[in-house]
Amino acid sequence: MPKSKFFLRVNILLYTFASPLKGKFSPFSFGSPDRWWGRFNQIKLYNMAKEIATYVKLQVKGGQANPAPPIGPALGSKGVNIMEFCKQFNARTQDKMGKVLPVLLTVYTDKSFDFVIKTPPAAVQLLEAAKLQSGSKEPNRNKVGKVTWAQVEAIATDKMADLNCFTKESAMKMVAGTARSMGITVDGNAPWGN
Amino acid sequence: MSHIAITLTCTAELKDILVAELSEKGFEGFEEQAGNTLVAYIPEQDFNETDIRALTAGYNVTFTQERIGQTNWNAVWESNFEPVLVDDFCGIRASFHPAFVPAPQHEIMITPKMSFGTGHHATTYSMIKLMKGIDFRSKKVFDFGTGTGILAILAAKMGASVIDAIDIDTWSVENTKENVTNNNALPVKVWQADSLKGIRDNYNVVLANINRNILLEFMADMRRLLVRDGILLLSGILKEDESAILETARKNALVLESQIEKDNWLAMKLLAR
Repeated sequence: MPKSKFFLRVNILLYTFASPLKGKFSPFSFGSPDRWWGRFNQIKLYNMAKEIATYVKLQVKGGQANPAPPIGPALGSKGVNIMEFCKQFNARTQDKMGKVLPVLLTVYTDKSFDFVIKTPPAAVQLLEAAKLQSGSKEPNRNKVGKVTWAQVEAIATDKMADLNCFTKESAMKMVAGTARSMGITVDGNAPWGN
Repeated sequence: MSHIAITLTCTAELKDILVAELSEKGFEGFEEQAGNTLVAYIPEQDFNETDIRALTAGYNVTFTQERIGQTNWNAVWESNFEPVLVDDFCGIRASFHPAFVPAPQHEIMITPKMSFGTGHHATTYSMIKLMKGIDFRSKKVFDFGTGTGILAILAAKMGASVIDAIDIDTWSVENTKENVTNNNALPVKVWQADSLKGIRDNYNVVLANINRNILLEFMADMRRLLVRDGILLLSGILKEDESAILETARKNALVLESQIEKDNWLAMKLLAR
């Protein structure tokens, strides 16, 4: 599982930097079986120290995280230092100011946290693209908008990793499907024909 | 500021569509909960119930709504945070912690509520380290984006005679006032402002622990506030933004004297030339 691989990597890194044996010999050199057993136990200890308490899934605007809802109630109740999350999130998203970004937080039992930021949802990108097409900054009241296949392709490419699609064509079909559900039509013929 | 939370249940695909649609209507953030439940938050004054009912009805979705009052969401973390010690120079603790033994040179008591600045984060920690090497006695100091007021209070404890501090958030201004009183940091004056445009005084030291965009936007103003050979301490800079900051600093006659890196964050000490 990718998750367990990740933890193994983190733990080896921690071990490399934090081992009391550091400096005596390289962490990858051979030592006595006792030493190896000691290292194994240390790795186990780090695993225990970073036990996952819960996950939190939010969608918030880039560069604008603040302790108000949803961040305040969602993280505050878990004992996470909200201000620290806001500082880090805002710094990492300052190039996507104001864009809705999904963020998945892993909260550990020691109240520390990690987070991954994804690209804006296809639906958010479609609305933006439809506005660009119409040249209007106002949200479309009648939910009738148009996008081009080039825009669909750009969004599909951006979201490939999140959409679980093997080909760009299937990702584009999914994005076009979302557009239809929103009342946005895709202008012209699909690049792969009918 | 109070918020309205609306809770709705729908399919995963529809959830993303509703996030997009509701964002356009002024909703600021969303929490995805188990069982395809979406909770969306909007400031109370921006909530138009009829409009949102019409929008969700178009997708055959209904919602329940709840008013969320303003509260200190950070209370759980604050109730048991660990004290921070920066070398033997400065200790930061809550009122419920015992005093540091042995005592560092300076001890600050912070009740952060929902403001930034407790020394736990690398950006504050590194600012305190940079401040350690500066003689603040009888100096005029400006703290841009003061948060809890931690750096302004430390400057007062190090002997600064005037410390002016601003923050964009009113709750941070209130919080700084409380922390200033609790630490008896009398020279600190704090007020709410979102820009440096109206500041006309000159200062020996300017402190700014914010973020890249704000630091770049206000670099010229920060330089204007400084006397010749004045010191500018910057923090809140990710390692990858180093060149952008230094380039703008150079254009404003600010020369890098030293910098500290911690956890991929940089703090810089610049001199006004």
